[in-house]
Amino acid sequence: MTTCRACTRSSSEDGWCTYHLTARRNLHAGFPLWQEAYGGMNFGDYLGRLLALPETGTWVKEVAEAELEAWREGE
Amino acid sequence: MRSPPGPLQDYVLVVCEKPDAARRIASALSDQRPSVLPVGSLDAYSVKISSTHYVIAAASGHLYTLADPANRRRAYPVLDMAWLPTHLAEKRAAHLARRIALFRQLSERASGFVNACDYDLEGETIGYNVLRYACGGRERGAHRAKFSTLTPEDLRTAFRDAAPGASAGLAEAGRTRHAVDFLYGVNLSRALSEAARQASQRYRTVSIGRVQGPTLAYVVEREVVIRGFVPAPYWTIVALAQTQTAQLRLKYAEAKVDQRARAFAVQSECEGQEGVVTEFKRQVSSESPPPPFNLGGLQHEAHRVFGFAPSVTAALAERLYLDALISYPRTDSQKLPASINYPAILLNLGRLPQYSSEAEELRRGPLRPREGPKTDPAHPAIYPTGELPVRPPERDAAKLYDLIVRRFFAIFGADALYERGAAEVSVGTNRFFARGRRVMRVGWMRYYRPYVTVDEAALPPLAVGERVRLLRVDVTEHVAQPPLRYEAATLLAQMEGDNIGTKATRAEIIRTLYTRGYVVGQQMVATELALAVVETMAQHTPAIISPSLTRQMEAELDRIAESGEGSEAVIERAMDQVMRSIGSIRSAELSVGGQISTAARAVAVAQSHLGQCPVCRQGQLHMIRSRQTGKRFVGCSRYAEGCRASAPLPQRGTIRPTARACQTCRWPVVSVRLGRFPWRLCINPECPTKRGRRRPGAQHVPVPVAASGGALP
Repeated sequence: MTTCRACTRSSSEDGWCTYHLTARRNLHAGFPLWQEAYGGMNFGDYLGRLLALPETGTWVKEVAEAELEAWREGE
Repeated sequence: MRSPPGPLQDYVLVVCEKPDAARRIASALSDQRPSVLPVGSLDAYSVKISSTHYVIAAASGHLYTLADPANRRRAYPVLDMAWLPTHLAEKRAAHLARRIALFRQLSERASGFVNACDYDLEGETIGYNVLRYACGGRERGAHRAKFSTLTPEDLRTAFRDAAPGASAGLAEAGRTRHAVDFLYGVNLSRALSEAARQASQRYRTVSIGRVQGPTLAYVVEREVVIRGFVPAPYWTIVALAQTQTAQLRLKYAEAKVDQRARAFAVQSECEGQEGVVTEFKRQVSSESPPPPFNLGGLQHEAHRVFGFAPSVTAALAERLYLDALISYPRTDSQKLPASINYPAILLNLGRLPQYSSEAEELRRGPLRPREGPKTDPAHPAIYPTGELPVRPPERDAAKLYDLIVRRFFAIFGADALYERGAAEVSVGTNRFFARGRRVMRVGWMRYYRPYVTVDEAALPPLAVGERVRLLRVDVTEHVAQPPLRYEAATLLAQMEGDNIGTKATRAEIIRTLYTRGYVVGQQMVATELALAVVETMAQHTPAIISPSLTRQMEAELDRIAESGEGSEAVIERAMDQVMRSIGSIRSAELSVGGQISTAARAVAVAQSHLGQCPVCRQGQLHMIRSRQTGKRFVGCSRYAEGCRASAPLPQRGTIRPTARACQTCRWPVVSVRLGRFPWRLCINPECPTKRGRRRPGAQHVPVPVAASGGALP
């Protein structure tokens, strides 16, 4: 059994535990809303904005950091 | 007046819940000062009223508790349970043995018995158990004195009207509640603690219970939403308009605009433009006085205005009740019966200078109290008795008393009247709104000051068709906020709304969440341990964290209280459920235990961390327990590198970090709880604020130069 990429819970899918997996779903669901709100925005900027906001949940930030790293590698 | 011990006989033994209540009852029943009757190392009171001789003695809360008769510490399941003297089941209750001996001795020659404990589930259980176990099976023939205040008038009436068997159903319901809570609490807590011990080889109490379960689940559910929250952006638009007579603040009709471009388009279309008033309305509205307090309402309001935790409010209200200043506080009722003598209460309260004008004014008018919808068959809403304090209540109790008195005044006040205005202004296709209100009659608010403030923002005179110019249009960017964390008062309200727990237990359950390390902070943050426990329960015994189980149980207990029957079926169902839950936890003991013990370790580390070391400024201060002496103290994590910063700690009570630094010496401040009320302590024994108080021989600790106060680094 492997542990989550961000915490000590066991991972269920893609290396994330159920809590971080839900946070990841929320993160991806939020992107189109931000794109529409600003009339266009790339994924990296979106993640950067979320990471800077105190309102963003801690699990979302943990996932966002990993996603940002992966996004930068893909650029 | 103390009476020498002698061969008493032919008296009625009165069982009271607490010593203060016994003293009050004795004074109320006696025309003169009651005689004090030494019995062993305790006192009882002797009172004669016409032909009846009362001997009044006090318990001190529950003298009997449900326990495992085999006294096995960790074994489970425990389905056999028995009512045992509390001092045999709990080490810290040794002092209660004397109280049982008192009742044993006094019951031998008593010819009659009166249960005069608080008239509710807990009080009934306390009185019933004393009569049954300490007095040798006298619970059936005993009379019940029912009262809602400890004033002489109410107490005399209660004793005059006391009747046998008047509350048998309540006692049965109380004992059933204890049995069910024992079954769930002891067995599931032991199952979780044992699973954690199996996984980590270290024991730590992990508790869960029938009421604690859903309460903890509320906090965890909120935590999960907050930690998984993705804020979305939105924009608000506010305009400043010039009318013929004044400036007017307008809000855009769409409260939240979800596209930035659209928000700025509105700004460019409207700023500097003329608009027209397309609608203007004024109407009078009224606001009724709030209802009288029940315990939940009082706890909520005391938290709002004073920041008191619900458990603190409950303890302060209990103190005021025992001083006969207020009626019984553990009530759900928002009703005040007509039999209460309001003019007399107001007359008495008017003797206190701070209330004289309001009390006098109210006494001149009709006294019809505003009531709320909630009822309680046992007690009315909380009200001041009108008894004047013999000594001034201590600071926080005085604050709570003032709140209760002013709320009592307010319920007799007239409705407050407002003139509300609403205007719509159109600028092309864009619509803006303005709202205002003006107080026409203060009504009840006059009596409830300073706990209510009157907000006024009147609209200037406007007419439909009037043209206004939008001087400025401001667009502000926001992001959506996550849901608010629970605070003690909002969690209490949630429990009340879902009928979880009772008025007597809710505050204590919330306090337990803190002491078990499940939540931290005034705005409750669920710890990893809380998440792990709720997750485990959701997998293995979801009923225990669901409000429906405990709600159903409350309904069944109400039925038992009314009929006195049905307790066996309820207890059997609880046993069934507990056995199934235990089976499920045992089948996955190692994984459950691993998860919980990992989370428990994280919480223990967090709870012992006090912040950066103020001496070396590199290490971290932690609370440590000495392996040699077992005593706790504070030490720096850089001890091995030579930092010798250390400080002694109180050896009793619960100590929690506060994340605050002493304003004087910058050492951490901790919260110490021993008994009901916590206090704050700078851990530095050399803190200048403690000079002159230092005990000889106390350890010397170097004090760093004071910097500015505030939060710890």
